[in-house]
Amino acid sequence: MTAILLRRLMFLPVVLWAVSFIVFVLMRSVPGDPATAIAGEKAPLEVRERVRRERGFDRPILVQYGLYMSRLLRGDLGESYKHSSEKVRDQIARKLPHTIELAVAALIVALAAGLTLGILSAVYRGRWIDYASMTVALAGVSIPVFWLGLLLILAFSSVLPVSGNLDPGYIPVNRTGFLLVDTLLMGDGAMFRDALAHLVLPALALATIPLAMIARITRASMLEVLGSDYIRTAKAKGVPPAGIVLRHALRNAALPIVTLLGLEFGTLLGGAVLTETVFDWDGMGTYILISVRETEYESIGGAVLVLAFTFVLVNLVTDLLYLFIDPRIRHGQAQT
Amino acid sequence: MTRIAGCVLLLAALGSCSDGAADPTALIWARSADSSTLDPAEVEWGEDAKVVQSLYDTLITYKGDTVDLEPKLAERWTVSPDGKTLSFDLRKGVVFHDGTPFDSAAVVFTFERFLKPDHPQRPRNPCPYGSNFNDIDKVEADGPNRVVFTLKRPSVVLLYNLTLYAAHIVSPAAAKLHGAQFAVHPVGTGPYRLSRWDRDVRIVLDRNDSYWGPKPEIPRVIVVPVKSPQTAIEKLKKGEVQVVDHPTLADVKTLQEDARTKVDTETSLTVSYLGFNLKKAPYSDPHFRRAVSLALDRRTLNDLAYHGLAEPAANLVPPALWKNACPTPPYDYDLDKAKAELAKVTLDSKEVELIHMTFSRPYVPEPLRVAEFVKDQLRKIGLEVKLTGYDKAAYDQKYKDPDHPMYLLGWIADIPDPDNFYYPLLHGDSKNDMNASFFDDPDFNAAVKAAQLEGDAGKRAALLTTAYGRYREVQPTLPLVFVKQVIGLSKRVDYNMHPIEYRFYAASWAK
Repeated sequence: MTAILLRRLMFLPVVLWAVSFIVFVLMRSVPGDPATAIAGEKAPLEVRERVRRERGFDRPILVQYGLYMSRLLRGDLGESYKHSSEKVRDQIARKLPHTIELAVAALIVALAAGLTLGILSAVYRGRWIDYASMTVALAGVSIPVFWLGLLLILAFSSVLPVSGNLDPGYIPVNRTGFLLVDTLLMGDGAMFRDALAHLVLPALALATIPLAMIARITRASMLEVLGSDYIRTAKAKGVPPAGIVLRHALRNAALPIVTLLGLEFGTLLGGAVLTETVFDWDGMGTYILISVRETEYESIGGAVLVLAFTFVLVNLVTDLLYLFIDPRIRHGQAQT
Repeated sequence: MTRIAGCVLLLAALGSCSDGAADPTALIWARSADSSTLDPAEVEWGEDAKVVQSLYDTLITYKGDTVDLEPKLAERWTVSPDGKTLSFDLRKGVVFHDGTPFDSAAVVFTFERFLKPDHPQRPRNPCPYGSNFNDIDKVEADGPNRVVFTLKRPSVVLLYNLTLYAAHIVSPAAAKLHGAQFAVHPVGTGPYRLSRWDRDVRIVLDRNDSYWGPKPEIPRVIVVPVKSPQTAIEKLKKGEVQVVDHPTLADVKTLQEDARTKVDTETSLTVSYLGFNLKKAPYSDPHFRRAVSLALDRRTLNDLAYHGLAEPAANLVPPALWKNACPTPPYDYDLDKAKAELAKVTLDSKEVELIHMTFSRPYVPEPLRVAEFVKDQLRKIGLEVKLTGYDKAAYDQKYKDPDHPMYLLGWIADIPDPDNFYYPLLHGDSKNDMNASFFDDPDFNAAVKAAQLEGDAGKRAALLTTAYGRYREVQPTLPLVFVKQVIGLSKRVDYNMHPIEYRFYAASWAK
């Protein structure tokens, strides 16, 4: 297991390099001129050319790549072109907590609802609960996030806030960058409730796909475990049904679910881009979108790298979770 | 069942706390995007300019809601008889937000900062409006309360340009202290000071209680970006925000009808136009351009693409700025004449191309509708128009490309003077910039250049008339409509828009 983890860790730089390379190539192959974006459409040609020289956009593409990589290796994500003199690092530090807050909220919703639906349909296999849950699951994977977002807005706009992270009238004190935490630390109950209310609809929209996936995997995995010998033994010994399902079956069915969680976190980060756009949520998604529109090469590169890094990290953590859940792996007797 | 009931209760509880903002004395002002800089010298677009105009003051400004000039940080100004020296007597006793005094040294510093390429406090990004100040040779202090601008040539428009963004006077002490970070630590003399800026989320402006002039009524303005106009309008109706400065024209009616909201409109210096590449056939053929012009019914266009809230244009320059000049008769709409003109053109094919932006701009809030309108109209005279849309980054390049066909564009003038339309959009000097038709007519060029130097109003009008005549005859571009500014307001708020300047400090609570 340690060897696997080490190999994963060694692989991390390769993944990050590949991501940075792809972003670099993609950004420079789409139309758009950052010098014009910086100087503005009204700026005369000589000003645009000066910007091009000063920022190095006129240099050969390989030189630009070399400079970019050398800065990346020194841990410098660069600076925003238009938002004068602001470091990409600082911008991301402000946006990432908002996206993590959203993703975690969505994950909690997905896990709670997905497990419930999955377990119910496994236990009541072939009954109406099963069909109902699996229909919900099928709908969940099929409905695009942005469309569901719009439906939610239509349905709930009169009771819940549908845009932004917080009512514009509230001004939080910035301690951790996580709004829920900051508003709690301030001890302002009204502001906390407002932050929570703003989180509900985007989290619901973002949760649907992972929810559906979790429900389906849980069902399949539970069915397999429920059919095994030791469950029959437990039943024979008179263990109450709830105990069988929750203590004996679920724990052994959890392994594929945990794997899925790691992978779904990636879906969440990707889905956040769409969800944030629909709900005007200030986070990494809207940040990437605005950066693409303004031809901010370094912001896009930085944001995608950070998301890729988060994804790899979450998967590492998932692998570590196996150790906790599966004693066979923990004791080095991996048989599966 | 109890769980469902619980969920509903929770939702209701969460929902109920979202009305009623925390600070009832603050005015919350929604717009489409956040500022990218608060350094006047770096201001690139309208969203940057809006906040800068309340944080800083200029030497001169526009009087009330007119486009006539009056002194602001200057008490008075004089122009020398040869037109090459401008002197300003400065207001005394004014202090910057950081407590340092405003004096002639600050004015000299402000201008040298962006005019001198080697200035130590030069902003990181170029001054996009720097070329508006190219006529300035030097700026010198004459004692602590007098500043003298020496010009390279007499300039009629420089006084107007002194109302522009880069001419907002900055605190030299703060610019030196914050260096490259001045854009996020702005210090001016304006009616509001920056209290807090959370990028992309809010800008909090607090009243400058030691302001030298009339103090704003509202103690705190919170400026928030709300990208979608529909969302912003929902927030306006719910009372979460009190001003929405980017309602779509389609929303105007609902805002007027709603009991909680109202609308203010104001003329603007904004025009939309259709341009032709004069270097590419068939667009280079004057008969072709005349045919297109005759086929466009600007009244219908106004109804279809501007909800009737614009004004058909017969010139690039809005009528308000055209006082004392020649008449500008409306363009004819006559499909038969258009067909006759088109018959004189040798066409390789009936298919022509129109490129357009896909994103909303003040001059074309709904670009696709305008493009479709042109397509439909030209079909009536037997032309098939291929429409090609581009997003912002691509379009800025596309219409400067030497090989483009017809294009859709517009202009928001910076100053209320015809020169600000003719020179950047049509003069031969601007062919690498906004003159995307590559129009380069010697008579037009000469008239526009001469008008820049002409101090006599009558002679200047004659020169501009000549320029207009050439423009109308050659038709390198076809003006479509003049667009109005629209703002959505809560009935609790009073605010009168200015045609050019953006003034948070002019807002007040309705009596």
